Amino acid sequence: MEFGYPWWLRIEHFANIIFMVFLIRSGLEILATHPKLYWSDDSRPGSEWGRFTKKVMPKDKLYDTLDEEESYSSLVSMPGHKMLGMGRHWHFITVLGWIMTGIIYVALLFITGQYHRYVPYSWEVFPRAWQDIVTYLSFDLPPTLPGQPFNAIQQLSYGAVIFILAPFQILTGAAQSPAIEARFPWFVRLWGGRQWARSLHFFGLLAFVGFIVIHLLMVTVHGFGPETAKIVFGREEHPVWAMLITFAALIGVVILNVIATKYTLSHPRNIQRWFGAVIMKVRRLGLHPLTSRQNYSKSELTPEHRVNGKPPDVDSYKIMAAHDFVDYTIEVGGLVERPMTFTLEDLRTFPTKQTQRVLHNCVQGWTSIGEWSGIPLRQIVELVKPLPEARHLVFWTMQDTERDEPSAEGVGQFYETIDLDLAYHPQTLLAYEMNGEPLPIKHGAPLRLRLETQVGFKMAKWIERIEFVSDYSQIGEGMGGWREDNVFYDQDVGI
Amino acid sequence: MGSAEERRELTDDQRERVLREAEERGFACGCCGSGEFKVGKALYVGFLFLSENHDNYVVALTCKNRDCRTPRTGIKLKGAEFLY
Repeated sequence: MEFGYPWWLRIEHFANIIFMVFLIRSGLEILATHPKLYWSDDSRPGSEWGRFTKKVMPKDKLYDTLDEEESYSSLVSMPGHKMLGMGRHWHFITVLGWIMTGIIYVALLFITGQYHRYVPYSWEVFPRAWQDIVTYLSFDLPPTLPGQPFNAIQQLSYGAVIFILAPFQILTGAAQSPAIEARFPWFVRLWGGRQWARSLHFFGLLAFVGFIVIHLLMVTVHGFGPETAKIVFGREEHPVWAMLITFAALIGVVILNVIATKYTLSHPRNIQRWFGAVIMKVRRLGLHPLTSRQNYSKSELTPEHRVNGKPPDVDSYKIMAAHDFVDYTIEVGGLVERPMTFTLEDLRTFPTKQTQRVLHNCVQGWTSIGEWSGIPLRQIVELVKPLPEARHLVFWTMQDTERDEPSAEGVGQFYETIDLDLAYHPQTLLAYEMNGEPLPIKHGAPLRLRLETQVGFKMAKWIERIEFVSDYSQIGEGMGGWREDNVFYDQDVGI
Repeated sequence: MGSAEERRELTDDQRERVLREAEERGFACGCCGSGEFKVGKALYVGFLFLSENHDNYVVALTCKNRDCRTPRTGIKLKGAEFLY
């Protein structure tokens, strides 16, 4: 068959340029929020193998991972300037487009038979590929394979990028989803653990960047005009026009990035609403129904579980803590038949204490493994009996973010909402113990939420009130939580 | 720092020093005004809370007035003032 450059291949090639640029830039934004890479799911400070920050953390004062966040320039990250919420939106919306384009591309490759160009049908291709590399290093051009548009090293490289590297990135990305990890713990273990998956995802990024650099170099070496003509017109004709169109397209990609970055920085709420509308639908469909089935062994517990958020810096809380939270009460009310108030002792003496050893996924990328004990939230829900119109639970906390979280953008009382159905999940817990001891202050004492299929910020700490509501649009900025309101995360965060 | 290290039990001597410090400062129950307390645990706040100095503790005090409606209170002290 004839291996040409059909119109669909050329369109997908151009779309891929746009997707890859946004994926790489937004990926770097996500990396910036915790610019350290580990091999162990403990994410122990100092154990990182990769470090992209010069910040040094204090030893005599509690710091949290928000303090470790870096602000990268918009020249490298999307959108830059410490906007993880926006980086996540861009990464996830782009990855949806990239995967859809990839599925169509691969389908068309097989339908049209064009996939043969990427498949080495003989073992001889491998030594020939090595010879091709040597030829390139000798400043010469290797011959193409018989009846093929590529030489051996090109065939292997393109085939590897399409059929190995792209799925590898999708799978290592999926392995970082708390919902997938919680439902299929074997899947994250398959990669060596969550931090292995994150590190491998980073290596995948480097591989893509390396491929793009070499690809552009090879296009230039083989002849920029004729090579771009193939991908612009489908054949080697009008090389000057092809070059001009290619340069114009690349300038267009740069302009698109500049406009997208400036708009994202100036109108983050719009991006959150528009992209969130798409991303949330996909998540609710694919990840929301997954329930946690984790049970790590005691030997896997992280010796020093990492922390995010700082405790309420107010005397009333400190006095309550000094008295072992004897005076603590939690109100559960709102759209329920039986509003109730519980003391810590009430909660501790519930007959259905549950303990679970699970992987904690921070939205920033670090993980730790902890053992949590408490009451399944569904039992509280069944006691207070939600009214039919109740759809969400609001967890109000004792944290005043202006006072307690100077590293975070925004002010006001910290709260988070979850959908009512998540409250019925078997490992959704109101935890009052950690690793067999009363819950430490820095981890949310006296009571915090554990919601194992979502990222960490949804698991409100220092809870003082739970309210059942039909709608959260009138609370705060109406986005479903303090972090959603102020740093533009999504309300449902199964990844 | 686990929950066990956050709060520490005090010796009799340390409790005495806390009461002496409270008396010298004229510390009184915020609810009933009583100046008589039972001393409880000392919570180390210097590490956990942003506004606190490195050596700060909050020591649990319980008002001895049986009619007091909010007997549990606390006094902020430096470790050097009562832990020696």
